[in-house]
Amino acid sequence: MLTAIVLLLFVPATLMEWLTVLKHSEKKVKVIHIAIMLISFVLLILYSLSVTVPSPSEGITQVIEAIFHLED
Amino acid sequence: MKNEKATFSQVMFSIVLFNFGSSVVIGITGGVEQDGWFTILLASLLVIPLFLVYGRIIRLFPQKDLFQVLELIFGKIAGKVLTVLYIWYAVYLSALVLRNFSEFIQVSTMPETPQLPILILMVLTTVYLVRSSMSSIGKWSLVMSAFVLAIVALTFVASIPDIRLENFMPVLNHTPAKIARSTFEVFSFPYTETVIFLGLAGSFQKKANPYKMFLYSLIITTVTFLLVFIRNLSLLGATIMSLNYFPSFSAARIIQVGDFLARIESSISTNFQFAGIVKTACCLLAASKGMASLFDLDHCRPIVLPMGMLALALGAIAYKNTMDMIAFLAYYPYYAFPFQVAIPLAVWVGGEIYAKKHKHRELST
Amino acid sequence: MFQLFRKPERKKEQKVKEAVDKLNRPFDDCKFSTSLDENMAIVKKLFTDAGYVRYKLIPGEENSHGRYFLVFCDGVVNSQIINDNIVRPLMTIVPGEGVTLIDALLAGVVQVGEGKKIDGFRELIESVTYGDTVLLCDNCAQAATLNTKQFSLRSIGEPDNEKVLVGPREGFTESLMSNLSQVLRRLRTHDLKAKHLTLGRRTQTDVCVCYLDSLADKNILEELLRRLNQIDIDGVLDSNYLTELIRDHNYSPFRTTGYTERPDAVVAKLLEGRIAVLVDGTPMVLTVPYLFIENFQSGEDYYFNFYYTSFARILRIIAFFMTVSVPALFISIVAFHQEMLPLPLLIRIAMERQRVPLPAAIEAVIMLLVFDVLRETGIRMPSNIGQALSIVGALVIGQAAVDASLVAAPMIIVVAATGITSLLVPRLNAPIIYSRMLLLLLASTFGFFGVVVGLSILLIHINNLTSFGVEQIAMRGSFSFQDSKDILIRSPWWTMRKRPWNLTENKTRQSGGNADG
Repeated sequence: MLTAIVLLLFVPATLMEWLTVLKHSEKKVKVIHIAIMLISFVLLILYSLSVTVPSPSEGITQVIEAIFHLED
Repeated sequence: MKNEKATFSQVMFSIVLFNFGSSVVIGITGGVEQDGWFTILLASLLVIPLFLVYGRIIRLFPQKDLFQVLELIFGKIAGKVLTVLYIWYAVYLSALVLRNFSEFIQVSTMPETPQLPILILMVLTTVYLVRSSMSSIGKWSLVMSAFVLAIVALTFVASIPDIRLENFMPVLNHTPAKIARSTFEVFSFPYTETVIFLGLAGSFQKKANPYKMFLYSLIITTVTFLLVFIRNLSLLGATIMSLNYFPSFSAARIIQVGDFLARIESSISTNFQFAGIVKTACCLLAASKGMASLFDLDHCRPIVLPMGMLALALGAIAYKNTMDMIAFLAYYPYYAFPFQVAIPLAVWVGGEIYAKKHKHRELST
Repeated sequence: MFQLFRKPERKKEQKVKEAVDKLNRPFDDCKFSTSLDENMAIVKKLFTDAGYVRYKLIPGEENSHGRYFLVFCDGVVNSQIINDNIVRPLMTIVPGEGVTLIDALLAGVVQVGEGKKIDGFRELIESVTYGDTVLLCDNCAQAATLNTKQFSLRSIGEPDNEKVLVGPREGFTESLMSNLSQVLRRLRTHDLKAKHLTLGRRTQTDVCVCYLDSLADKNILEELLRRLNQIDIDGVLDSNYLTELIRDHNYSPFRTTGYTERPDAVVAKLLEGRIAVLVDGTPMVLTVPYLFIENFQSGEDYYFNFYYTSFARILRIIAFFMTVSVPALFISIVAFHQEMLPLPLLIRIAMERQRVPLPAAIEAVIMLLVFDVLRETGIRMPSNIGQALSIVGALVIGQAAVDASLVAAPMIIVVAATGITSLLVPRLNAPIIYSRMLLLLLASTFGFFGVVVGLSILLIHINNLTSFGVEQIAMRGSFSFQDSKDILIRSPWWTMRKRPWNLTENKTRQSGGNADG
């Protein structure tokens, strides 16, 4: 169900972007656009399929723990 | 993007709503219940020199945003590396803000709705706002500040009959270490997140005085925070306030206006929405400008939607539940310190040297 | 043997056919030839089966001027002018000396105030179809077009859509010249400029761009003329065609050009520095640039007491927000946030909602559609059944639906409030319909949060609107009392010293009590 929502979001969004802005942009812009959309698409699909994606917050927390030893 | 520059008042109220944004939702203080007013005041005093540094950076490089300044001072490669760091900071910040809001909505009003649709709605609205330009965000802030601050004042006045002064006692009961840590938290969330505005400085009007912008907004923000804190503390008491994830919301539940209007907390949540949109929008705009400067693009408009989607994805995976979100607040100041304090100080020092070198070059030729 | 005679005939036919084919293509033209017979043949071939075109051939005398040929359209010409001032002098007076015969005729013989020389068939077609008479003569490659216009027009009356209680009651009619005359009568200054354009390939509609030279912003004027000149469409029948072709935001339902049917409103806008576009054939006049607050202003605001009109204006703004958000708010409170209602009201509403089978959101959609249907029928149907049908609609449908437990009573009240407030702001009826539906959809899915998101989207959209580069909502943050006097409230005339800042550079409207500039 969530996956359907994710698809429902990404497909029209990309279409609309294509029609309005991307048509007149250079190749660099298109490449970056598609790359970032792809990354977020993959992350969201994994999230909607209840796959635990390693979260940056946990990484940050562990790094700071190692340096500052805050748990006291 | 239209090429309109944002005026002084527009930026000032954007900063006000930016600071108001997520901190009023979550609760301003961490761990020092009834001494929160003290930490707020202390933090706002500590922030003043940092704001002066930010203002000076904008003054040294007028009409340039942070990313261009980084490249000028540190050279192309180091500048681009720092730009990447700042883009990450801005995107993650907007992801965190989005997650704050969707958690809030889900916990308080709609427990059965999954968070993803809420996140999506907020991101789409924010992306729509950002695609316009900084001055659109500024206009939005002007209108919404009046509305938001009016509601804060109204709820404060409506809560006056229920205020109990003994909730403030005992005063300054905590150890200095705890107060220091709490001040550090308030200092970095939300006050020094204003560093994001350095990334937007290219769109400010030339004659807008950056010192005044930051300092006036600091005054308004501090006053607002104090009002909100006093209201929450008086209505809820110290223990309940520290137990609650969203103290403002719980406090609004108690307020009763006259005989007929009660349980107005849903209207409080509109306040949060309007302010939260500004915060997310500013972070997204800064991230998009960073991307545009990283890859030497002309406009950041095509990049805004992908950055919004990225923020959405990061926001969805950032925390597993609300408790994690609140717990992360203890670590956030350390993570943000380099972005908010260390690098801007380095930029300031580098900027002064650069400006002197330029003056020398101009005088010698 | 007859072949020899048929060849010149066929050649002549060939030439005529070629000329007519050329004129059938939109951008080609064909010039007159010096032979009157050839010109006559081409004209008659062009207007075959066009029974409204009349020809008059005045035979010539020997050793003198030759024949004259008149072409005009019956129904749009003043026959008396043709008889007395054109045919009679042509028959009796001998033309004097002139550079060409046509010059001599225009100078001495033909007694008409406006006469021009033309040299192509395209201009002949345009003149003849608009009420002019074209005069061709022998051995002349030019012709004269003489102004003999007389149209039958609607008389000047009060416009139906912009009725006022006090103030002037004149409205525009369908003739460009008559409309222009009404504007001229009110602005007796040489400053009033009127640029003429012809738009529409087949209709060749006259369009007139009016402005006050010392007040209008030249950038906006240039941009407007540039956009008008870019229009390539086969017909322009109404000013709305122009609106859609020259607007700033193509997909927004909000207006970006103002329209009005009243000359006093147009003159007031011209005096503020705006530019008016008059289109022949329609009484609607466009004004450019358009500010968002104009959706809420009406001309009679200035003819009433300023206390009353300030109140009315604020009421209209509130009405706009109400009509867009009331159904959504009701649905979100009833379905998601029941705790916001006071207890007695909550019990009452709960009782009503229990009897009804449909969920609140669907009920709201159905009732809103019913209201819109009733409103549309009220506009379209003849007035004799009008009254009966409105009684049927209001009482019977509403009451019966509640009695049959199809619809809850509070919903009727909500829909009635929505519908009535939407009538206060007629200029915004397009965006209101869509915004209302969007907000209703979001509210029924997400409750209050949905309403807030919907209102945010609406407000962001309104914030971004521009009209010819001028922001429709301009908030610079520096609050100046002078600039906001005509927005939310209507300040009395003796305080309005300056014109709106973003429309013109020439700001002084009054100086020290004397009307000046």
